[in-house]
Formats: sequence, structure tokens, C-alpha cells
Amino acid sequence: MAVDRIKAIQELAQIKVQGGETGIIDAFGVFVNFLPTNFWNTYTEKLLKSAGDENYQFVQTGLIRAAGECGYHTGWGIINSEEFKSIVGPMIEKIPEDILHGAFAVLTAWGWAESEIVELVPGEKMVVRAYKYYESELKETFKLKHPCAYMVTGICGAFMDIEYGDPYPNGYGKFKCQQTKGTEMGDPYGEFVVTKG
Amino acid sequence: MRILKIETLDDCMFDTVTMELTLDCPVSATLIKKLGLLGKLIYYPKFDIPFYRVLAEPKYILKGNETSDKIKVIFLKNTEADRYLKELSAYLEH
Repeated sequence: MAVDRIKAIQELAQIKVQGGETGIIDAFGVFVNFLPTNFWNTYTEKLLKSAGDENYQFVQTGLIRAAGECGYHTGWGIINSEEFKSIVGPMIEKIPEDILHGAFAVLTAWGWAESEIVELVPGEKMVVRAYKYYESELKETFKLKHPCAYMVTGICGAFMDIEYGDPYPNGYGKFKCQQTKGTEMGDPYGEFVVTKG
Repeated sequence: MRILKIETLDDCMFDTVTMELTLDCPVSATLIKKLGLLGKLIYYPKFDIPFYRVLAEPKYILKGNETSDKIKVIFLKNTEADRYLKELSAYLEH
């Protein structure tokens, strides 16, 4: 890996992200907004409570898909952004593997998930570890029966789709991700295994 | 300095228009400072490839990389994009 993850995260974190007069926060090639993480966690918690065991699979699939579709388009915007070209661009030697490593540096710098790729078989498989991610905080207010990092799960699959799926915007859904470990379940880290679907 | 090419890019907002301008020469530090006079300049000259953003609200946001011949412009009201593009083009030429 040619990407200096620590340097990338430090520099990415320097970039000021702020809303303008119109409320638009333009950063990393996409438009984003600031919302408390509790907003999403409460939303997820309510869905899980309402679904119960009977409809869990339905809710899980929907939340992962929502994150995946968002991650697919947002991820594309990020890796094609001027910010990414500025900081990660000079570190890229191997395409698309180094771009993937850079994308997870962005995910970390933005506070979505402190995460890194620990195994990558180009075009086939990726294993990501996440040490902190806001969805794990659900364990504080809800008795979990399953790992609940739906956002990270969806994003990991989407990032593989961007790099190894059909050309954007037609490549979503080629890869599937499964969360195999989670700090919310007592594991030391979250683990996300992406394979061809 | 002239704009050689204007390309409209996809963006996910209803009332903005994002365009990529290709110039006849690379963006220099001097040009970045000139662009900064149009609004609030946010400039990271120490990055390996320096990055800048100019917040010229409510008209537009400019952003790009030093040494690139491209500037991205997000016009914040699509109805005013043509007028502000003409203004910007004239500013770059002088």
C-alpha cells in the first residue's frame, strides 16, 4: 500500500467543512449535512424495535441497502473530488487498490468510522476493520441480538462496487458485505467481509 | 487567461448547477489569490497538490487544485448561472 494512511487522515481532517449562507455544505465532491449521530441511531433503534424478530431481516436489508446506495454515489464523489486528488492523489501508485485505501482514510477523517482495510484480494474480497463507529453506540440504549453497523456494512460493499464493479453509475450491487464482528457485540473491533454477491 | 471548455457536471441538488471549466493554462498560486478576491479564500498550500476553495456566496463556490487546468464552479442558483459564468469569464480574462 502506497497510501500513508496517517498522513492522509491528518491532512483530510484539516479541510474545513462548513455550511454556507445557503446551508449547503460542499465538501469532497458531494453535498452533506451535519446531523447528530443520535438522530440516525434513534431512527435505527425505532425501526428495529418496530420490526421485532419476525421482520428483522427486512429492516437489516433495507438499512444496508440505504447505506450502500448512498455510499456508492457519495464514494464516487469523494474519490473524484479535488480534495481527494490533492491529498490522496499523490500517494496513489496502484489503481484501484490505493484509491480504496484512501477512501477508508476519508471515512475515518470524517468520523464516520475509524476503519482500515486489513485484507484485499483485488476484484474478489476485502476485509475491513472498524475500531470506532457511531452505530456501535446503539448498544447503550438497545439490547442487540445482532451486529448493527448497517452503515459501515453498506459502505464497504459499495466501495468495492465502485472499484471493481461495472463502470459508474451502473456498478452497484455486485459485491455483498457481511458484518462478522462488532464492538457492539463485545468484540474488540468491527469486521466487515466483502465478497462477490 | 481564457476558458477553453465548459462542462456541466451531475450534482445531487435541485437548484444548483456544477460546471467544470478548462483553462488555457494551469492554475497558479497567483491565480488562486486572484480568485480569492471574489469571496472567502480557503487555501491549503502545504498539501502535496495544493487545494483551494473560494466561497463567493450567494453566487458560486469555486474549487480546484493548483497546477490543474480545471476549476470546478458550483453556481448556487441555477437561474443565475449564465450571468455569473459570464462575469467569471470576464474576470479571468483581465
